[in-house]
Amino acid sequence: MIDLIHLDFIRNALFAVFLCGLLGGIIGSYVVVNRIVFLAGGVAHASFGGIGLAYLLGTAILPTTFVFAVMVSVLIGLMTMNDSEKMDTVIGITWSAGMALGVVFLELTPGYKGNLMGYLFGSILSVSGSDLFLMLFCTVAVILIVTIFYRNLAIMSFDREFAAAKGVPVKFFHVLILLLLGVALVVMIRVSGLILVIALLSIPPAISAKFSKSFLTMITYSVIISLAAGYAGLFFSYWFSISSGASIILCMAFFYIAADILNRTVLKELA
Amino acid sequence: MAIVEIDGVSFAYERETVLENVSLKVSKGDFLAVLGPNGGGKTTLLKLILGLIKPDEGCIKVFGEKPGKHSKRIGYVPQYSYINKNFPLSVIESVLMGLTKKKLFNFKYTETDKSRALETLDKVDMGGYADRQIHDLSGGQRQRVLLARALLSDPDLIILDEPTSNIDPYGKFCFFTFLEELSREKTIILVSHNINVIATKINRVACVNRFLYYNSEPVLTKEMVEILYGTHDEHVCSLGKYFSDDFAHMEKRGGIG
Repeated sequence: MIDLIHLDFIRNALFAVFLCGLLGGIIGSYVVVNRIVFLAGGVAHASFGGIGLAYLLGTAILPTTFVFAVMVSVLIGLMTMNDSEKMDTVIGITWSAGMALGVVFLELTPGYKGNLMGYLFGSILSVSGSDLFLMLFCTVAVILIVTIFYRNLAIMSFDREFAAAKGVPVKFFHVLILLLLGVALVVMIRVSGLILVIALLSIPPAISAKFSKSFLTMITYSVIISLAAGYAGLFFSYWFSISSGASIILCMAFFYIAADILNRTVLKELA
Repeated sequence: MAIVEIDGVSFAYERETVLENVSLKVSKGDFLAVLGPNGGGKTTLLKLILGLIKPDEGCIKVFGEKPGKHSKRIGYVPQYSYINKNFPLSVIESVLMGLTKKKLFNFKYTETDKSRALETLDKVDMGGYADRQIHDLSGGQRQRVLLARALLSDPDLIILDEPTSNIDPYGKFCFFTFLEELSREKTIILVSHNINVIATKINRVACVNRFLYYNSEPVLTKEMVEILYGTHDEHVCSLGKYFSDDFAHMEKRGGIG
């Protein structure tokens, strides 16, 4: 099995899982504490429109989807900036309209649409060098922004009213979090596909939230759990010849159940 | 010196007028209670003072300037219900959020900041809880932590939104005694729907229900009671009127011979 490392596509896959775990753990923590998992699902599904557009225009798929997803997430951010009560409806509309757009674009595109399933359910073994480059760029950009604005994002996530009263530009950060989410989703779509991507954002932070006393530890544990589940999933996918995205997510779900049982039994007795 | 000056302010959400031609002056050393029913515009008034929303008409000055300019000099204690209960945070960390530095790349707080936060926690009798999760505390304890957070930046004006909704009835820490002591050095605006606040050591009172009435004595005036509970004309309200209507109605139908 060690020999596999010498294969380019395996190395790309290992690296993609690494970037995905890093980003999923960080952005996922913001998604879970701010309760925008459904919104993440909305942006992910809407980015199907971007995939359709790339097929129609004949452009590179990941960069086109990247631009599309970022636009959708910023759009949702601007629409819900003043009134987050509307969030639910706005998500419903963008989720379905984005997918509908993708369907129409694909129908307008003549010829065979190879690899489409890979974008829906993930195909980590077909990550190309240029995909990886874009993913690396996105990961570095997101980590940099999150580090620069760490404290503002934390205050804003914990207590928006107080943050606003303290002069933190909450509307700007509201849109920024969604923008980062859009960027992160594109990185992760290669691993799990757009349909399953919310699992990567929500399960590891949900596990780590059970054991974290501060937001920084929550992010750290999320990243560790994401990476562990990512590589375990990749191993099982190789071992049983099953889809890697699904395998990773099932590992995460298993971790979640195990953590939940552990939390209810062992840790409760210790406390 | 006027800390807050509100002059002829009106505000409407969409088309619904919440505040109409409201004027209020808060001076240094005031301990003002703003009373009013839910939906009467109390929180809107606070948001205007904090600079979170802008008035449709009229003018507001806080520390002599536009609201929002002096956010450091204001200690805001929001309602606990606004706080994100999913966010893991220790008591000391939540107090430290009261310090807003414009520094970026800022993960760790300095030791001076930490010891100041601990001192402030001690003041509100929460010194032993620094490392606890804020979400594990009782409502009253959390309220005190939020108060400590507001006090950390040593503000001149303290604004509390519905602090009475979460008070430990049998706790040894008395929230209002603490506020009373605080009011000797600071200006305080306390917003509540609970009329009982009038029985505490406030020295000014305002009632808001679309309109605002102010009294520089801590006593409710007739106008205030009216906007709190509504006006009831004796003729319309008395039983006699209802009865006479009923009689007239029945007579028409020939029910009473």
